[in-house]
Amino acid sequence: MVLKDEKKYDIEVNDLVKTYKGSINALAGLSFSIRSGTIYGLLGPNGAGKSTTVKILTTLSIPDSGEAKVLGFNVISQPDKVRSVIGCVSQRSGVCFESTGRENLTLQGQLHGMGGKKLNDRVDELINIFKLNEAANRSTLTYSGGMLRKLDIAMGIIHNPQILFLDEPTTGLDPEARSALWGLITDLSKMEKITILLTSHYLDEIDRLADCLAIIDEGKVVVEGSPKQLKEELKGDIIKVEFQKHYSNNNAHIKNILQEQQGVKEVEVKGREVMLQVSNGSTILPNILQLIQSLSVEVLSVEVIPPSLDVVYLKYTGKSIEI
Amino acid sequence: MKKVLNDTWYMALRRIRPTFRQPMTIVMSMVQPIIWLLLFGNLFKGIVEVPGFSTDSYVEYILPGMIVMNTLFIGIYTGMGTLNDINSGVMERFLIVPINKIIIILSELVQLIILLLAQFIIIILLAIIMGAKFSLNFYSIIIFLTIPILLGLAVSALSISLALITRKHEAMITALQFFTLPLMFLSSAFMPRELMPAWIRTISIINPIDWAILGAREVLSSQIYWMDVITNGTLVLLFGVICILISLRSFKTFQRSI
Repeated sequence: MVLKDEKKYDIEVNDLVKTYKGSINALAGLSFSIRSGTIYGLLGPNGAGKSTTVKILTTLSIPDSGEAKVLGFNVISQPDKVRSVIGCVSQRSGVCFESTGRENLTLQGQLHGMGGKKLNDRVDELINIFKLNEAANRSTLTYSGGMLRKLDIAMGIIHNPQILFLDEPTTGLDPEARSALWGLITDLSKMEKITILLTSHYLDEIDRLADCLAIIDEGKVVVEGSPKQLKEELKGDIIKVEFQKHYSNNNAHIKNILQEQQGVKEVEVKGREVMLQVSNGSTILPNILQLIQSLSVEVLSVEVIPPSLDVVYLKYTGKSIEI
Repeated sequence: MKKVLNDTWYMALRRIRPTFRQPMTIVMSMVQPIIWLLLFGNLFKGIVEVPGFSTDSYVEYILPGMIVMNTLFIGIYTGMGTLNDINSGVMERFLIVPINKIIIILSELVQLIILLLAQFIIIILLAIIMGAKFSLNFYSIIIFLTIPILLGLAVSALSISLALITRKHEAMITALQFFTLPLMFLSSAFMPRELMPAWIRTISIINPIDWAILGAREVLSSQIYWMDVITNGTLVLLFGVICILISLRSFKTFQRSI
């Protein structure tokens, strides 16, 4: 067991660019670093470049330009070194359906150079941890989605990797299985000091698990920080007002008037929607509504959104999270 | 080297196990060559009376061709497994474990060899029942089977390669089927070179399928010209190596596209 320096970065990503055929710009200069032993969350809408990032870091895909290092090994020039220290659970299952669960696990271990009793013991241990005992010797064709996911994760960690990539690991799981998995991920990080890169489009998942997170959009990091830090930076709530119809002529006017109100920090008008960043949503709301009504604008709905990663996300990507 | 062989075997097991769990696969795949041998062997029975045939029994003449044809027909489908792996995500998993990519290719070939051997036994037995006579010893049998198997490996490697590049069943199978049957007829499988029209003879000289057939047929003859066996065998081997190299390149293409 190598003692890890807490200040050390296990993963360093520098200015990655990747374009797919058909000119989809998947990554447009992505950079971030992950500290040893932490869980790092990558959050972003579909197509933001999360999976592409994981594919490049796990040496599966080759970037057009830029550099990435995992435990100091370059993913492009030293792929085999990288491969022996990482484990990966991809978005899609990697289970071979022609084999049983145990056979899948054993093969994955063998390919990582394990064998003999040590491998058998490890396979048994993982089957126990993931409660696959009863299904271990059955064809994986009979597995439920949750069981396949568990098997995927067991395969990802069979060789005790120092770095683990989890690409949307809980997508498609029932709530019970999700929270069990969360527990497991926390354990891996805290007990075994594994450095984990976790991508997700579930905000609650990242909020709960990640020590640090980056929101990425259109192939770039738009903001980085700990979930707490990012929420605190919002300093207050967001009030979202939706009008009955477009008042495009009045938009600038509405914005100016609202901006002058005490307690309002920022106003953004987009089509029929107005977003106000305010210090205390519930006390300021009556004033705001009165003001809007005095402008003879009819309101369809009003919402006060307390500080959460949703708001952070909304603020930086300009999009609500879609699932 | 030992790790390569071990890993190849471990990986091949995942293909072999299901085959033996359902032995019907093997039995069914034996039917096709039997039909070919019966059809061709009987249809063209009288052809051996044409001067230029070195044998009196047409079954004896087409046996190497039938074995090679069989190899091709099975070999071109190797990429199907690769496509399944790509679609199920298994391929991505294998590409990020610390193994040489040649293991992924070789492991597919182990299954192919087992299937082929099972079929060869049936074909040879049937040919003997149909009246073919040949004096084979242990070594000549090994060589007789090795040459077509090498060609099978080459075709399989190409099939895997096409699977990685096209990533579509239709494209892969159509491309390979487009070549296999015409190339069979552009070889000495059914007619000796001496009886071919000149242009077909020219093509047959650069046709890897014909190298395999000539090499295998020579082993069966009563007076073996070892030079012919070695030359043709080496050519097939080289072709196989080139196909495996192409296949390895295709992984790069595949990785660039994901």
